[in-house]
Amino acid sequence: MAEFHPALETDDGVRAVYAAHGPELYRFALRSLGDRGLAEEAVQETFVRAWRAADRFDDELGSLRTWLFAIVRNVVIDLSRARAVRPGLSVADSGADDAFFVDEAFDRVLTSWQVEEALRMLSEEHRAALVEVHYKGRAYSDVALGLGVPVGTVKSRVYYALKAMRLALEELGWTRDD
Amino acid sequence: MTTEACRDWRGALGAAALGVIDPVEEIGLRAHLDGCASCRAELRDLTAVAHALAAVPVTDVIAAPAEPSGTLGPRVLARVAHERDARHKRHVRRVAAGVGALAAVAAVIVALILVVGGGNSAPPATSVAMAGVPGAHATARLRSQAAGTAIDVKVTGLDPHRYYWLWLTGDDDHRMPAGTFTGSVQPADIRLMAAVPLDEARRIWITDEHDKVVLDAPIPAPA
Repeated sequence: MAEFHPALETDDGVRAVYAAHGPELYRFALRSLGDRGLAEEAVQETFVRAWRAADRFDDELGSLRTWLFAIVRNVVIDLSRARAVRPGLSVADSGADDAFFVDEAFDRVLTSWQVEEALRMLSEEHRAALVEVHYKGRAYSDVALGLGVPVGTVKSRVYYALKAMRLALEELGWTRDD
Repeated sequence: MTTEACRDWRGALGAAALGVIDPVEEIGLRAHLDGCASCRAELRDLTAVAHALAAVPVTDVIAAPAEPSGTLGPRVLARVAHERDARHKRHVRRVAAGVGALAAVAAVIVALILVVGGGNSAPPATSVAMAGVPGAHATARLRSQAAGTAIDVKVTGLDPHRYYWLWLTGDDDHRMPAGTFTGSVQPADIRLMAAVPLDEARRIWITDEHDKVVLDAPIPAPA
């Protein structure tokens, strides 16, 4: 009989893996499918498939997270096909080649999920600096004034936030476009 | 190689990567970059990160992160436990099948006689009426299929602004989802499928999006 990954072989193990990765798998599925119910179905199916294929999981080839994401990606594709919903796209975006759309949509969904999760991994100071300067488009001097810190501190935080983002993104499997 | 001077330009590198560097500062940074390969490489890295940031709209960044419902964890646990039990049962059945090989051969012969003799080969099916919250009602026809149980539900009186889950509970007390549907005040026909064999299904029930039971019925055990 096949050996199963110990993390999924007991209720406690499944509970621990879900606690560590369930919510991020859910957010990925939600981004892809755009429906909370379907996203939850995708997470359940991911765990079932992971359990069934646990004997093929090799710690040395990659992290449990990477493996789970490879599975949820397939689950989302299957659910999208079954429900005629393209991942990350509305049903109205039809008329082009399916495989192309699915791949392109997935790349987009995957990057946005990686960025969102990586932002969550930053320290509060770094995240706030990036959000204020990049996302809200506020001047360094305004942000410094609001936080009551020197402009140089805000600049330094933005620099280190980008550095930390790079590490977090790479941990999540992100690869540069260029 | 990173030098003391490089450290002084870090803030400017971040601003340049985001495209918000002050023009005067940019002149100084360019002069430094001309003679510093490591800062040029770092600017390329940070710029790639800055481009990736555009994949997420500001509204998503500011909004609270989407979290799954509190019941998802227990449902995941139940599904995996169900798979584990089913594998165990199959294993037990295989052992039993090995022991009773002769009996199986005899059974095949009997089955062949039945088929040749025009025996009824339609898959087993059963119908149940579901009751629960006032005003809502459903009837379900369950048919045995190779992949589980096909369920045709006619449902009335559910909130059209909500979605609902249909479940089957197996004889091992684990619940399996058959899928989701949107409510309807008028009678609506829904066709779903659950990975529970009909002869093991003991209960059919519908929950709302908060996992509250709205309709429910026992499924009689097969004769």
